[in-house]
Amino acid sequence: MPFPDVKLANRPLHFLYLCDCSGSMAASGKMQALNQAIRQSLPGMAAVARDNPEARVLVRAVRFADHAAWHIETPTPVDQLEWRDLQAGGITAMGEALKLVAAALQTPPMEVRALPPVLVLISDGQPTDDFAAGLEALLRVPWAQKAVRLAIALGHDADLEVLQRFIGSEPATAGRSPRRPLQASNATSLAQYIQWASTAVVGAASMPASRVSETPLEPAAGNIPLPDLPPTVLDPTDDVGPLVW
Amino acid sequence: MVNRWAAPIAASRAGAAHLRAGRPCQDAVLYRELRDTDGQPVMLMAVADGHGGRRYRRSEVGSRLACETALAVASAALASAPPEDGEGAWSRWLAHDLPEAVQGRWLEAVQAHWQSDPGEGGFEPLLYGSTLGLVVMTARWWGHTGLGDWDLVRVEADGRARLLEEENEPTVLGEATCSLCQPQAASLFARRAALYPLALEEGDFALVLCTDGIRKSCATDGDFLTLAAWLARSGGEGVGLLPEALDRISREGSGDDVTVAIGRAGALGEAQATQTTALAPSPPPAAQASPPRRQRPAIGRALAIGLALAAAGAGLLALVWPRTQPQPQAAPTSPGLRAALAEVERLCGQPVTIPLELRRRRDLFVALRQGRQDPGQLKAAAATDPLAALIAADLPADQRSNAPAPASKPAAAQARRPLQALGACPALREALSRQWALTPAATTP
Repeated sequence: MPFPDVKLANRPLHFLYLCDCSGSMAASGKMQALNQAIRQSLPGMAAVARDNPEARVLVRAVRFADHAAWHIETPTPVDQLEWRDLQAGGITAMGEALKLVAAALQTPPMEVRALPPVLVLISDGQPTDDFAAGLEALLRVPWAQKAVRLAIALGHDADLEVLQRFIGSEPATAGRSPRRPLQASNATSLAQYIQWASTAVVGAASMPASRVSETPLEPAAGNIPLPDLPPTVLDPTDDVGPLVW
Repeated sequence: MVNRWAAPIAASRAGAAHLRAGRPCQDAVLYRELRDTDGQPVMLMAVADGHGGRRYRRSEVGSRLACETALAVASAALASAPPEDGEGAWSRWLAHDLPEAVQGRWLEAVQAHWQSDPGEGGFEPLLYGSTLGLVVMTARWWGHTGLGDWDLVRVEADGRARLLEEENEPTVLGEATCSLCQPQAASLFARRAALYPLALEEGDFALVLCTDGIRKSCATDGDFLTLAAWLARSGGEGVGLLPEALDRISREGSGDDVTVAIGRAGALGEAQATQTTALAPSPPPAAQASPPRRQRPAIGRALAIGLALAAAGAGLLALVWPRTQPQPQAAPTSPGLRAALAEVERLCGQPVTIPLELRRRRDLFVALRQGRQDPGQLKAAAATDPLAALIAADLPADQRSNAPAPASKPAAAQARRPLQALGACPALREALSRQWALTPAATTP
C-alpha cells in the first residue's frame, strides 16, 4: 500500500528584525554597523537553517523612524535574502513598529503550525510615540506572546526600560541571570549579538523542546530556552571592546 | 455483545532531529489485551511524549512509565469492576478516578526510578515530565482520556477521517503542553476524557492515537487526516510498515519523535487494504480527508442552496458577502461563496467536529470581537479560508462596525441570519453562539 499523497512539511520559523532608523543612528557609524552586522550574519544564519531542515527560516524586517514601515515585508527564506542598507533619519516611532508587527503575527497569515517566532528589537534611543499602546497591541497577539523576544540597545542613550518591557521579565533561575536587553557599545559587540540571535537563537528555536505549560503557580520560564551568549559576552551588561557609542 | 476489536498495532520512532542531535526517543507507546469480568476482550493502548527540554532530562523514562502505569491501572479496574456498572460510572472513571490513580502511581514510579538511579541534584517529578493519551476499547463502549498534546482521529471503513480530540488548554503557549509532572495533572484529564457507547449496527472503524510529532509534520490538517486514514488502513499489512512510514514522516516533516497506536473495530484491516489499493491514484488530500458528509441527492443540494440564497435576499447577502463582490442571485457563482457553502456543508455533515474546529480558531474570534481583525477582509478571502469567512459573517451585529443596525429584530437573531442564509445547520449556529459567548468582549479604551 503506497505512502499516501500528503504534503509533509517542515515548520515555518519567522524571524523579524525591528530596526531603529532614527536620525541618531547616523551618528558614530551605528547605522552602518547595524547594516554590516546583519549582512555578515546571514551566511551563518543560512548554515543554521540548513542544519535544521525541520524548520523553514523566514526573515522579515521593519524599520522605524518618523513612521514604521516594512523593510522586508515578504517572509524570505534566509538563503535568498539580500540585505539592503537601512538609512537613518527622523524620530523613533517604536510603538508604531510594534503595531505593524502585531498585525503581521495574526493567524492568518501566520500558520497555525509555525514555530514560535523570533523578534529582535534594535534601538539606540527612546520611543517618540505611544510605545505602551504598541506593546499592548503586540502582546495581545498570541504569536507575540509565544515569540522569543530579544532587544539590543545601541549605546548609552538607549532606553533600557522600554527594551526590557519588550522582552518581558524573566526571573533568575538556577545558574542563569534574569534576561536583560543586550547592550552594545561598539560595532564588534553589536555584530556578536546579531550573530548570536541569528544563529544560536535560531538554532534553539528551530528545534524546540516541549515543556510544561505555565500555571499561576509556575511562573513563565520563557518560551524557548535561550542558548548561552558567546563566552566573551556572557554578561549582557559586561560589554567588550572600547566604549564607542 | 460482540467483540469488535482487533489487537492494536503500534510503533514509536526517534525523530530525525533527535537522531541528529544524539538524543533518545522520548516518546513511548504500549498496548495490551485483557478480559473483562464477562470474559469479553478489552483492548488498551497508550502513547506518551516526554518533554525534550534540558529541565526534563529523564523524560524518556517518564513517558515509558506513563504508558506502563496507565495500562496497569486501567487493566486492574477493567478486570475487577462488576459488569452492572453503567456507562456513566465508566465516564466518571475515565475523567476522575483513573487519572487520580495514574498520577499517583506515576509519581511513585518515577521516584522509585530516581532512587534506583540517582542523578545530580535532587529529585523532582519535572525531570520525568511527559504527556499521556489512553484509549480503552471494550465490547460495549470505547473511551479516551489523558493530558497533553496528543491527537485522536477516528477513521471510518471507507477511509473518511475526522479529528476527535486534541489539546485545547488556554494556558498552553508555544511548545508548552500539559504534563503528568504538574501538581494538578489529574484534574486536567477530565477535559480530554469521553466515552462512546458502541451501537450494534455501528460500522467498522479505527482509532488512530498519536503524539504531536505526526500532526506537526503535516502541512495542513487535511494532510494529517489523510495520513491518519492511511495509517489505519495500512495496519492490515502488518506492523512492519509502520516504522518506515514514521521515519519518513519525521524526516520530511517536523523532525520530532513520532508515535502511533491504532485500534480497529471490526474487519477494518486486510479487507480495507484490498479496497484501498483499488483507489489508486489517491484522491486529493482535502477530498479524501474530509469528514463524512451529510448524504444529500445532488438535486436536493442544489435546491437547498437555491432556497437559502432566495431566502437571503440581496441585503442580507451583503452582510454575508463582501460588498465589492457581485451579489449572487440564483446560483453561487463566486468562488468565495462556493467555498463558504461547501464549508457549511462539510461542517454540518459532521457536527461532532464543529466545536473542535471553532475552538482552534479562538484567536480569530477574539480578534474579531476586539476589532483587531477586519471581517470584510476575511469574507473577501473566503475562497482561501472559508471557515474564517463564516466566522466573520457570524460576528454579532452589534459589533460589526460597517453593518446596518438591526431594525426590528433582536441583535442575536439578526446575527444568526447570515449563516442561516447559507444553509448552516443548527449545530453550526449553536456552536458559533457558544464560541462567541466564550470570547472576551472588546476591551474598553
